[in-house]
Amino acid sequence: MAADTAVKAKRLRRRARGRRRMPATIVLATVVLAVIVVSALAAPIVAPHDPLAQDLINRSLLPPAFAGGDWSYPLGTDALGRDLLSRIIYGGRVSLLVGLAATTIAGLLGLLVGVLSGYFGGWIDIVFMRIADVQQAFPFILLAIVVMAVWGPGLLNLIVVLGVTGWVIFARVVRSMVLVLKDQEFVQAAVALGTSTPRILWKHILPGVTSTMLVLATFAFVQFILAEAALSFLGLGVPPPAPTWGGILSEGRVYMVMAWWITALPGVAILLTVLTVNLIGDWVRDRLDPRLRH
Amino acid sequence: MKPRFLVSRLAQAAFVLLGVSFTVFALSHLSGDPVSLMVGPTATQADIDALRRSMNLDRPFFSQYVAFLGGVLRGDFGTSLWQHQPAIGLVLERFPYTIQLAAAALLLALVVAVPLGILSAVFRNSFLDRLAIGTSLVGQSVPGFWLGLLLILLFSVTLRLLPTGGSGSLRHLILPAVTLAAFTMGRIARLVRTNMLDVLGSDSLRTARAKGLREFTVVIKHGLRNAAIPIVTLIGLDASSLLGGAVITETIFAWPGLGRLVLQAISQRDFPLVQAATLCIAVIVVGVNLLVDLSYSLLDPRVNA
Repeated sequence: MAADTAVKAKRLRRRARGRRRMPATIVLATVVLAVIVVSALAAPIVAPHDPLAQDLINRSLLPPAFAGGDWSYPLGTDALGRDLLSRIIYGGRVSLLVGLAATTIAGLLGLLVGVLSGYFGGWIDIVFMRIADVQQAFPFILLAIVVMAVWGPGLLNLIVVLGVTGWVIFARVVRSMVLVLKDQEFVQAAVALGTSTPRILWKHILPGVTSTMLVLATFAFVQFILAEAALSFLGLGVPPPAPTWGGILSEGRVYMVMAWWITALPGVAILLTVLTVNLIGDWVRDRLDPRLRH
Repeated sequence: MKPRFLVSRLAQAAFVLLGVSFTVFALSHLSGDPVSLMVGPTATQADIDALRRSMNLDRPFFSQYVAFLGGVLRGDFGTSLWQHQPAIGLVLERFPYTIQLAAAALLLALVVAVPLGILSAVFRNSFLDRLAIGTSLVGQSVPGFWLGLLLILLFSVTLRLLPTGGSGSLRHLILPAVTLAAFTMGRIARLVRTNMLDVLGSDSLRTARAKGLREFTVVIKHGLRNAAIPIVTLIGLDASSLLGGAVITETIFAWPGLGRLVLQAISQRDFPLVQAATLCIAVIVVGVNLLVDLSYSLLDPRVNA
């Protein structure tokens, strides 16, 4: 009997440990993402060349090393003779910065609106949710395109526009969670004890939504990376000569037939970033909050 | 369906459209003065003033909005500043192309994703399942404009099988539809899989099996039916992302739809055209979501609130 229990306990422990262990795909995704992030952060050290240095005569449109090119330009060069690898590495800085900053703005804005709407209800809730309805009637990217066209291209404009157009999903989810949280006994008890409202929001409501916020943030982040790339591709993002993934792609489009690498490779960088963040985000979501699956 | 639900849902949609019209008007109003782009270098201040007056640009903001809204309600969206034709006419000319593209993409996504999601769930954790999940995730992560360019490079430039762009035949539709479908396809496949997994383990399906029904019938008739509501909800949500994606896809493939019209109009600061086209897109999104909401009560008799 005792031995039986011991075996069972061992099996349970092993199962728990197995569940804690990261699947191989997630390990791989984390490594790839880390490489992208570190090389973007350390771009001046990692990049083999100045991303803006041109040499029209000697090295225009060199193919990548693996396609018969020269190892001093591992991923080849563009039409102006600029090193593609260095441009992609520097482009990562823009994409990641825009993604991170826009996610922060959208997240904080959505959190604020969601908590206020959910906790206080009434006309605050009505006003905010109707604004959200109106905003959701526009496709996200279309709204971003129109506002960027109005404001003009630029890094700061891009961050603000994406952040402000992306708050709705945060607000809606946080609101629905707060609606449930505020009727919970521990919150009701705090209210009955005369705890001040800001303290209730800070101590009892906020901790209840943080893990969900984290999960939503990963999905917003990839959406912003894709939107940044699309906007830069359309010439409405960060203006040249600053290298951006979408911008490099758009410049390469003219030479697509004779120099496929300028179009293809920045897209690989975008795909890898978005794919790895999606993978990690899915995994984190399943552990923290399986209800958010849809 | 209770009439009260229908009425309140219609009122809500009308309110959203009012907000949409204001947003569209305010945005294009902020985008700068089209007059400075329209006049030549030799224009005098008097010419500029006259042009501004003829376009009502000298009136206060709110009065311009009221005039705009009044026009919209009568079906008058103003005249395109560059093409000198009614903006709504130009929009309606392009409208069928965008619908054609978005519908083809949605259809393609459903035809591929629903069976894929079902198979994935039935053969859970098999190689097929992993492959399907992986492909879906890639579909959701790939930038549409990049996928489009690669497809052109492969199928049009290298293999010479399909046209690089334009419209006119079914062959022109294939590449843009595939490009636009990728994201939605991935989303639907994953959604179908998770829902089928939930449903396949449920009591109702156990009962169906106990009745001696064939597994195929169980999965298709009982399983899919229960997974239908989340799928329909997702289609509503994806109407918006499909139309947004269409803006970029149409640009890549020179597809003469609304999205390409919007981008063109934006670069020319053609206010009335931008307004008419964006409003038209928002109307489709609101309309699809309204239909989705109303269809719930058909799919699930419990929803009748």
